[in-house]
Amino acid sequence: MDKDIYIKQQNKKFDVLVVGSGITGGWAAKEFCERGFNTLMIERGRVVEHRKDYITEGKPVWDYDNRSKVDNLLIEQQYKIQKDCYAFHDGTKQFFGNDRDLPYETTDGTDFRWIRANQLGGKSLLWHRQSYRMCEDDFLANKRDGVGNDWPIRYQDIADWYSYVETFAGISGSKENLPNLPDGEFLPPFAMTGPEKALKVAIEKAFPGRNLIMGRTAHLTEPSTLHISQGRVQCQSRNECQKGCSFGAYFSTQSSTLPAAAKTNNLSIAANSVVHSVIYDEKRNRAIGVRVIDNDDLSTREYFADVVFLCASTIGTTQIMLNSTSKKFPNGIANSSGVLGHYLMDHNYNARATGDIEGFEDEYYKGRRPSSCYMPNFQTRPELYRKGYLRGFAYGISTFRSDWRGKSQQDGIGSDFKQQLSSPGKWGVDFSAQGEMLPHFDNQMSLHPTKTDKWGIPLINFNVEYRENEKTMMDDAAEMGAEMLRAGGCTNVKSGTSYDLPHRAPGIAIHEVGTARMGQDPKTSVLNQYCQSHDIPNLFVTDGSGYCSSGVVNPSLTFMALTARAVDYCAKEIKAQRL
Amino acid sequence: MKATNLSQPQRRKFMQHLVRAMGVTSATALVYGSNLNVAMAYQVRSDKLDGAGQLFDKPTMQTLKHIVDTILPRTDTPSGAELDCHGFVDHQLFRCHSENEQQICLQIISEIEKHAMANFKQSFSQLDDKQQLELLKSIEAMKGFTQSQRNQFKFLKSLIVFGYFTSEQGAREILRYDPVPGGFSVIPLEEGDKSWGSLAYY
Repeated sequence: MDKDIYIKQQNKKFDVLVVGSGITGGWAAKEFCERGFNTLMIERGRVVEHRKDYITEGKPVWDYDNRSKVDNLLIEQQYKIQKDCYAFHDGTKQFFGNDRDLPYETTDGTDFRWIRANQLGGKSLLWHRQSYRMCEDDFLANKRDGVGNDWPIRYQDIADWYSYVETFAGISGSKENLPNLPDGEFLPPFAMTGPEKALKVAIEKAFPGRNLIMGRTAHLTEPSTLHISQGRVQCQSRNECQKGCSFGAYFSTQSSTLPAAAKTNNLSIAANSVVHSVIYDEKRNRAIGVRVIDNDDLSTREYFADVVFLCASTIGTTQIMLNSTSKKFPNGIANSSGVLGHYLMDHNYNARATGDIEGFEDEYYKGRRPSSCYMPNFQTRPELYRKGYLRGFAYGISTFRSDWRGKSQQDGIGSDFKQQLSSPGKWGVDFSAQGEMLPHFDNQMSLHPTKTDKWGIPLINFNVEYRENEKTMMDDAAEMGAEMLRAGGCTNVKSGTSYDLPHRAPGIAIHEVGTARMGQDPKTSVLNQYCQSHDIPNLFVTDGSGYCSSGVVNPSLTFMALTARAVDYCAKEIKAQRL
Repeated sequence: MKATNLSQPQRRKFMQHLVRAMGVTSATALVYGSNLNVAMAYQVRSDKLDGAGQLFDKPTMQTLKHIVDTILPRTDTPSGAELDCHGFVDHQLFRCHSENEQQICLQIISEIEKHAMANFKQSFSQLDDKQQLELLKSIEAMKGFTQSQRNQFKFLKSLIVFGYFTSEQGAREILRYDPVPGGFSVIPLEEGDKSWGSLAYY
């Protein structure tokens, strides 16, 4: 990218500051830039240039020091927590945060896995790319159950924004016409295998209302002219996405929103800029800029603008807000309600069922499909709830033919064993539950009273637990998964749950949401339905912080839609001179 | 222009130009079809075959080498030791595994030695192929070995197999290797067809 785009010191005022460059930051910047606003994107980490900085892309396994595994000592010193992420290995570690420099605390008896990706592009480089719309019932769940506060928006409020972001980002999937998982604007879906089709038929027949479909994912199965104009080409099914993709075949800030924003010449980027706090003008009741500490040399600087968009990730944004104190807001900016930091949620990925599939021995696959199958939540409203707990879960469903990795665990020595290792084995299937986590006031992140990090910013303390509802739900999900596998004719069916701390603690689904929730009532919520803070009109939060309930689907697509909608609203408010 | 002799950053730049100029398929065929240069990686080394390792002393390496070749003997494809799986296990344990896991491997190798001496009055390395095979099979069958020793052996075995199929020859020649598949599709599988050696997660 053009070098002039990167700035450090800047005295002139911008129209908009966007704090963060991940999925939401990228969208906010693109939307503002395309509307003609002079926009500064602020990123705490280093610059990662598309293609140029994908340093492990295409590197074969035998070229790594330890065949893709990460050195013990390095993990001990720098990646003690990040190592628990499924995508962490020697080819991706450069995109994960360094646990030595980014410490945090947890309340005794609890644990939290905070996965960080502090660089330009943030977690958009590392995400799992599954992209689903929340459904009508999701937005009504809190109201119906009386748990948490009512969402100030309904599905219809963001349906068109889903369409808008899907068309641009490129989402592959199949139209299914399901009330519990609205269709979107889709590129062709990835193919299903024979065993997947057979399971689909058997399970859908045995359990009406449960559907097994192809996963919806932000990959260009058939790029449109819009995607080609972003410099992106068709997905090659390498499934090594988290190393970075020079084809731009999956949606990331680098592949999609950043080139679009840069093309307008309205974008500047301040990298290595750790935002300490928001600068607040009490007289005018406006956010006027941010205080920044340099990531490398710890020097300080400030950036100013008419509007501030916080897109620094749920936890990152709320840390900044809690650390932005003033006479009017002693407990964090825009926190007159006192709920800032509370109601932290993640998804619950702690139940699994697995089995073997008989037959299909003459079928194999070519390519590493960067997606799997999916069963949307079929317990979206009270009359559909199962006994003993509220709400529901989805399943990520993958099938595969076993290879040497699984077979190496089996009995066998000698030439026959060796022969077996190199040929495809039985088909297997894995149902992994993805459960909703209820909003709970006591699931909280707060600032440590004395400890600070190397930038002088107070450490976060997490006090978050999976509670009775989540655990009962996962027990049921494991059992139901096994029941469906048996109905699908599977053998050797096994199922179970795991809450082993710290590895399976909240945070490990990397879907953290809540902490600055939206709501109609300024007394009990931080943001209104447009992600605008109730207290300060020109301060917006468009990442996951605003969630009222976690829902069940992967949240990134909703972050995109909420962000695009918030920018549209904000731009209109600016024009009407109300900000 | 040939991609063969390019360094890693050069290769990326090269690829980027090719993608723009020629489209995806021809660009990747050129780049990934070539030999990529190797810097720091663990290397299959023939001179390691008879020496001491980082974790294992020379006699232990000798025993391990024979264990490797009993589990993965030479057939129409190279044996485990020919791909230096014992050298790999030593390296990997030293670099990526806990002390406990290192101990597990040391213990089971020493146990195998003890059994060889007790039953055949010879070191495992000196037994003939059939005796070596019988001894290792008796671990998995738990004849004269405990469940815990069986588990130790399974761990060592999985490391050996990992080393074999993540070596260049193992992944690329013994299995089918396709770094840029170009898409996902269902294909028929015929008798004798190999698994994919190109995987997203190892």
